[in-house]
Amino acid sequence: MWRLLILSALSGLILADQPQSSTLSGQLFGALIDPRLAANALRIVGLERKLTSLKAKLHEAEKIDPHGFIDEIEARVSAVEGTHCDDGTFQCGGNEQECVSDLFVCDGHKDCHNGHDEDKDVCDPAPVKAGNVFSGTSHWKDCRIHEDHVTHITITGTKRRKFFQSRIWVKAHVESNFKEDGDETHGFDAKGYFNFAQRRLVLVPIEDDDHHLGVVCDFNHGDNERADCHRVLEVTRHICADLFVTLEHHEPHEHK
Amino acid sequence: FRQADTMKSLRLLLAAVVVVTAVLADHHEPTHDELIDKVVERTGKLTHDIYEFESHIDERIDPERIERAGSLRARVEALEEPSCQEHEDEHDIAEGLSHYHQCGGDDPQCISNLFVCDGINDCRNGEDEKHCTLPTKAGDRFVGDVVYDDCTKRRPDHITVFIETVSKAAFFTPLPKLHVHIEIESESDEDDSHVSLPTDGTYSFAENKLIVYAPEDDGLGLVGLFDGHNFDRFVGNIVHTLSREPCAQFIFHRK
Repeated sequence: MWRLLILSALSGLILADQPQSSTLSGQLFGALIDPRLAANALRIVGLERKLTSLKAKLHEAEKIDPHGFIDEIEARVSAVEGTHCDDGTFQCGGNEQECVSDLFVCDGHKDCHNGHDEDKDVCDPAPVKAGNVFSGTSHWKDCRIHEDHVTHITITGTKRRKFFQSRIWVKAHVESNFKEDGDETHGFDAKGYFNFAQRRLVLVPIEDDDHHLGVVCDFNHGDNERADCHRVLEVTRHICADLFVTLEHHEPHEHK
Repeated sequence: FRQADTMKSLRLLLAAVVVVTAVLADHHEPTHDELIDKVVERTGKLTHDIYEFESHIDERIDPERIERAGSLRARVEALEEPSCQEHEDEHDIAEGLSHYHQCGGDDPQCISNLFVCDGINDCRNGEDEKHCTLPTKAGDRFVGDVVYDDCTKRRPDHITVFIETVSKAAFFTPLPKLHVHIEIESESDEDDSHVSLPTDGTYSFAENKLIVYAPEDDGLGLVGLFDGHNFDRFVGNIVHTLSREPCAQFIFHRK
């Protein structure tokens, strides 16, 4: 395409050199393919190429999320700092040195003076939206002898009582892919809750006759997509395995 | 309802009349050159817009900015509990020594330091083979300014580390060997002295650490810690090589 344009640009240049009144065709050509117009066409071709390269760059830029980065650093620094609030209480955030019981967080009433306990980002139920699939690698340190293996946590259902909103009751399916006696996947159904104040998801197995261990996940990376999880013994909360999960994204092009 | 409709069409008609009269009043045949001028002008504007858009994207993916953000993250990581302590010995933990490397990213995993930059992917995310360019190349010079100094012989204000040669064994790449010169200029009441002490060292990719063995018989070595993102600066601790006790600190910058 652009070769043709260069050709026409050249012919335009040649024709334009001829005296305008000499021939009719010369006049016509000169009018049709003005050298400036041809040069302009070349610039447009250049712009087209630039736009294609910009598309690729845009894709790269999507991976860099400054706001997400700052949120993560903030969450991690806050975790290092700790709070002066007792266990089971929620710090009202920002510069407020106020603690409220975590039973009051996201219950629909403002309990903090700055209202932080009912803020949208605190009370975002997105981490436990039904249908979310979190996956990551389980690394066992105790209790069981397993190689590192992939674990998926699928949120299958949630319930939030109108008269007690500060928890979301969650049902989930936990599935692990490891080889044991030829069987490759091991899964169990679990139930539990999500606690807004701690951003913690707790899941314990239903009808546990197979001694599955509970899962405790902390969404402590400043977003709703990543969580530090542990496989724990239900009674003592002794940590048996580390599991860092990320939300699986369903690519829109898969549905095409 | 119908009245509103007629009002609407009336208003439209009026608008059309206004537009037509405006066009007629303004109407004159644009010359050939004027038309081309317009096209060229619009192309120019479009070019400007596209390049401006590109500069916005470039701003976001600016490597220098990513590097600064990485340095900040590294400082937070240094404050957090070390994540690869599982197999470490209690004494090593107490001394802050680590023999395991965190692959990081969204897929944390600990691998032995000896596997970092050995040419084989050991991390699931391949992180251990991604950052294997040596920051201390032959000919590099780092100048350090004193933070505190309780032990060196000359108590200098500056120390220069000059990397003379680098050698990497083809079969064992995680720990390249260096030959360095420690250059010190110092003044006292009696004399001005100038020394250049030759010695050896290694660089550890896993820990982003430069280790310079004691050049003199006082057993004082240098341990330089890069943050893993900014390779133009490192914190250099002068340590007693036997007890590993730090006794002086310099902040080094690439010259």
